Amino acid sequence: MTRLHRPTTLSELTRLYAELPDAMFLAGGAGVMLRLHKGPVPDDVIDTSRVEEIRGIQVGRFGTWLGALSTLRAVADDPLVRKSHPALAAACAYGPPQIRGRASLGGSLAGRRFDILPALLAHRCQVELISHNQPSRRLRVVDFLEEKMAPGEVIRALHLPPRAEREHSLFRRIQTGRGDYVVCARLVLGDGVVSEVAVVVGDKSLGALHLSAVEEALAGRPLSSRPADLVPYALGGGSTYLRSVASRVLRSWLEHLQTLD
Amino acid sequence: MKLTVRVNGKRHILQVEPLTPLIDVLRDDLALIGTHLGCQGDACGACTVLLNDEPVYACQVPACQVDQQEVRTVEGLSSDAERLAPLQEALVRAGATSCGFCMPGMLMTGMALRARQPKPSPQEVRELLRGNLCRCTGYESIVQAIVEVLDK
Repeated sequence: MTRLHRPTTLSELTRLYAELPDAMFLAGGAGVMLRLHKGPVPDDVIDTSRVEEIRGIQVGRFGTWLGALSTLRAVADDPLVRKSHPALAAACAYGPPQIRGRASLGGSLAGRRFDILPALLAHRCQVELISHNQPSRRLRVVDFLEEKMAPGEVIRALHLPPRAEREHSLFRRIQTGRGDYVVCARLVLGDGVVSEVAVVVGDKSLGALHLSAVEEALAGRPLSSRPADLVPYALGGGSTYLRSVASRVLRSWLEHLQTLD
Repeated sequence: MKLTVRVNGKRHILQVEPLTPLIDVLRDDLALIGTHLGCQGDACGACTVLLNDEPVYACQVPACQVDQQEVRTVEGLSSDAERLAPLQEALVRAGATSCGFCMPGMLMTGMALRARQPKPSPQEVRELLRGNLCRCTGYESIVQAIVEVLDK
């Protein structure tokens, strides 16, 4: 029989998790229900949905704070997030309403959702982790994906830096019979060159991946659409289709930016 | 756990396992079999119900998260047991029901749209129905029926 725990504060949540490191976390619920089809029912479940301290959105001059329990819909519908981090808002807006209203940003990150991760990477998101009686620590998403969370650690929030002047971003989701892909990019123009750039693709088998060759060809140079040809062939386990889609989407976006510039 | 939930306006107190899917509570414990179980994997939308007026996949919501909440199923659409709700009538008129398996989910998603966007465009309805699959109709008649009802 599963024991249900329903903390209402963050300190109660981290204390419980320290005591029950094998407990299963419930946020929006969808990820957990899918896992139950494949594995055994856990002895302990911690329902985080009543911990208001890790819910909410704050957009300010120094960046954006997104509570881990914020739903994809809340992020997508927030007018300030849409303005400051449009690629993330677009990523969160895409799914069916039945998912967007339940799935949490923290759960999407922990579950490595291929459709949300590219936007978090492109927007240079940091993850704030907290555990019982310990100060919180921050990790870049890219490091979070490689590093294991310490026992008892909980995702408290996601932090996004403020939007730069002359920052442009792109989010495209391409759903076809051949697969479901995401192309996401963000660049900042300054002094006639690309001063910052991130180009990330995602698909179900690949997860999310920075296109380093494209980023290197764009960084520090005048804006050009030519680097779109550098999307690697190895994407998606050798999917030439994903490569061609990502190239076309990027080229068209970069050409559009050139007309603005 | 003891689950207290209001379904279609009626309060129920049940003893359930916390991770029991909401759809099992509805179909097995409350005999509300209008909500259909399809893919069990957040894809088909046949199990869509309203949880506090928001559409959710009932196969993906654990019972513990509907405790003290309000659920509406297709059985609660019409206040008169002898009459169909306007949206149901419009779907019948448009010939949009076909095999009918997806209908409970389509209806509940359509109801959610009514609360959010009273006069949606066909494109807005199509976007909202992104999480509901139909393998018979090609969607057009469903979209038309929802637009027609919400336009009134």
